[in-house]
Amino acid sequence: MPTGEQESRQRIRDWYGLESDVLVEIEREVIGGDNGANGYTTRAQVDDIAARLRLDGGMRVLDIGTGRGWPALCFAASFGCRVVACDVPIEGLEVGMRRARHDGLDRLVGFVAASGEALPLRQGSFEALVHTDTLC
Amino acid sequence: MAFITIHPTEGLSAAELERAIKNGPPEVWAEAPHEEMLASAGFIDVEAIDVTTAFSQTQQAWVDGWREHEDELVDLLGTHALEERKAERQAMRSAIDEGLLRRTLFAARIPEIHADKGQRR
Repeated sequence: MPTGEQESRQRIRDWYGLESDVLVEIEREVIGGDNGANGYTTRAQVDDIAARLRLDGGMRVLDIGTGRGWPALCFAASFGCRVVACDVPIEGLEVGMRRARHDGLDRLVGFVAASGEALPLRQGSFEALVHTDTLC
Repeated sequence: MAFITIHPTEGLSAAELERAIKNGPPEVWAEAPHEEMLASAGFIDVEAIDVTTAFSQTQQAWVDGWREHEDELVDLLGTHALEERKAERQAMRSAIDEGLLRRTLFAARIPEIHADKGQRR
């Protein structure tokens, strides 16, 4: 019998495996993005975060709990940041990686399968850290 | 660092907290206020910006968007899964509007470390 946590993880994996034009259309209308996010962080809030962190092209940013790459891909596309985007579900990271390649952002965005509790990253590697509704 | 998080409103009764946790996203409960946890981890200049109103509006926009595209979503997700997800979003929206859940943008920084002296400023 699966536990609540297992069910929750499976549900997230199933969701990340879904790709459809209608979901993207709704996402554009609701949060102003098209990276397969289904949360509450709007494009305006991503811009607010970027302004508070003074993001620019020279910065290295860590996005914990990136899902399919929101807002990591947006930071790279809009501000030229180098971003490491990490999360646990591989299904979401795969979608994000494909999108990064498609948009020519794969030189700027790297995807890492890791939990925020045990990041395989050297301390002090980033100037900025972001997470949006991850913990939650 | 900047992050956005959903959390139960401070000062809820035990029954209200239970409803906030039930209707909120997974892991919505935290052991201590975020400001306190940030301070104990060494962060300074902590800013907390309430984005609950936008949270409620965004949640409603998801419900409206799904309603508008219901036929296509039934084909994609199936009736049961769609109804389940809509019900969850509506329950969360109600919890937000009843003041049980909040969403906050936190920004904070770690003091700079000077390698020569190993001192933070």
